[in-house]
Amino acid sequence: MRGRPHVLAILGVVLLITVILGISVGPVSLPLMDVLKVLLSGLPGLSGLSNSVPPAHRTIVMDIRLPVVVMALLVGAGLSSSGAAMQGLFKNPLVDPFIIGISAGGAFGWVLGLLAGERVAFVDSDIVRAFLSFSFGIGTVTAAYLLSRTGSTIPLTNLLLAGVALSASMTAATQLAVYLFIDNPTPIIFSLMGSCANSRWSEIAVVAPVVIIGVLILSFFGRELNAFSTGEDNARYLGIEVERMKVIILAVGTLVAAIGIPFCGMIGFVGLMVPHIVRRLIGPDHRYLLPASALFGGAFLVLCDLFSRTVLDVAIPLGIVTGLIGGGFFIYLLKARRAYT
Amino acid sequence: MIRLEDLTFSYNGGPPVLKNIDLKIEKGEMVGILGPNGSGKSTLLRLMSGAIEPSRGRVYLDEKELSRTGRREIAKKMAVVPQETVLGFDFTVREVVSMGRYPHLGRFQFNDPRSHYTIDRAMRSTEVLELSDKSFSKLSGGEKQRTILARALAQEPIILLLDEPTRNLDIRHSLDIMTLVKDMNIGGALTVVVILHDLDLAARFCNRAILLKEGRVHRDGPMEKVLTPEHIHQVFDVRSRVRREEVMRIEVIG
Repeated sequence: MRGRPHVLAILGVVLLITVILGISVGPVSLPLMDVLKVLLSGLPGLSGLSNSVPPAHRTIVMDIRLPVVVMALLVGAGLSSSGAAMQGLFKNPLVDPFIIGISAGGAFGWVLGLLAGERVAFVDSDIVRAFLSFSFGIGTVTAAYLLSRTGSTIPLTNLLLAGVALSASMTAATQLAVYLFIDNPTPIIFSLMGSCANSRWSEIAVVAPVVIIGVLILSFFGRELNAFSTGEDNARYLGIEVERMKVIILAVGTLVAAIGIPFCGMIGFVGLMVPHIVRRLIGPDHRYLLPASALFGGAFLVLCDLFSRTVLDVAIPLGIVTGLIGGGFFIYLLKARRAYT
Repeated sequence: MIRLEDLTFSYNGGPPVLKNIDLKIEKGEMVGILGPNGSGKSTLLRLMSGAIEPSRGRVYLDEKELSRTGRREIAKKMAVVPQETVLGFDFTVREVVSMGRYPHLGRFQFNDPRSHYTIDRAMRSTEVLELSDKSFSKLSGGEKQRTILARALAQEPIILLLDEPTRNLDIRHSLDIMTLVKDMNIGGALTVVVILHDLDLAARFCNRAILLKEGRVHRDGPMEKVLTPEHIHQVFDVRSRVRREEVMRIEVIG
């Protein structure tokens, strides 16, 4: 036994520390104790705790930084657990939720919403854009699923190929739309790069339930995912209704990854990278890998977000930070792999 | 136990790989499926296991149609050892064997004492207990095969299907794994259906042979009636000699 409950507990603590750190660091640096006091004053019976904290600091914590940090946490957790689940399902460590079309579809939907909003006033709202982005993300995965169907089964390799093909088409369509219809594409390109800044509690209210419930569901299918990572036939022999399981994992995995895109754009590589790191910490057993990926992924994105808004004078889009780290990480992985195989 | 009724199978509407197969596997038998490459052995086994569905005809497990039986219910009765198992990730031997308990456990249930006992027993009988914490992907071919066999046994099946379990194994390990399966066949009344390339191995361990040729059952019956030099010549196009020692032996001459 590798002491897995301990690893989970440690990851939980790490996550808490990154959250506190993420709140206290910023243009106005807040004392850690003040942050703790404000956070704890939210608990019943402790509301008096924050009385000694300057009201300005209280506002920064509750209205500015906490929503950003919580959003980063949720999006990171969703992407990572989705990645872990899909890698297990496809028995392929290079799969992530974006590869089957979620992000390309999401981006297209978002740009479509933008264009529609410019022309028709009453659809010019964040809610419409969020809805379109989410629907196109889910729609692309659904289309990949239907395209790959042969008879009554969905061969997973076909699904992967269909996803890659649709992603490419969707990205091209997005670029075409931006190229043809948008005079100053810079802000749009920035938005698509991904960022958790400007997150609001009302958005978190949408993202949180989906991510929390989704991660729990995926975690409870850990045993099925273990069986899938020995191959589809083996999973069937072990007593799993494989086609039904594919639908469940794909649907839940897509939802938890796609729900963040309308609010934070495309934050790449997290779903691909985090499960790799976590597997080294806790082993490949999905019953532990799933919750651990959620915790680690949450902490990871909170740190990336912190990095993105502090390292330069201007905030770098979060997707660029994860992209840089992700690229480096895979080069490292390539080298490390070569070393031990 | 297993009954195949007028079974025909073809991949995606191509030419049939198996044609008009009628078979019955009885409780306690140890059946060898034999035949040259491309005669449909693996396809037949995959149909028995429900991994694929017949184009025509029906498969029954304990008088219940396989395609209408839940996979969990099937897995409690029938375990399968495929030709080769490649894992996507670095599971330990014990983790792989533990997967065999899946059909017996509820969603929120962790391995109970009975499961641990079954897992230990399966690993001891296939001699992989001392490999418990080793990484499955770093095992030799024989160790992998024994681990997968242990996983199959952890399912506590009454039927075991094996697809060329001795492929990639040297003669010592081949004999070991066949002896182990045979012991369970005799001692535990485990019904065994096994695809074998090696006719001599089949003759030594199985009581019944199903000889396939070009997607049809060429001969089916007791080993000594099926594996005659004449039938072997018809199917494999080789000359051979059959000897009767304490077990039946087959020597291929050329």
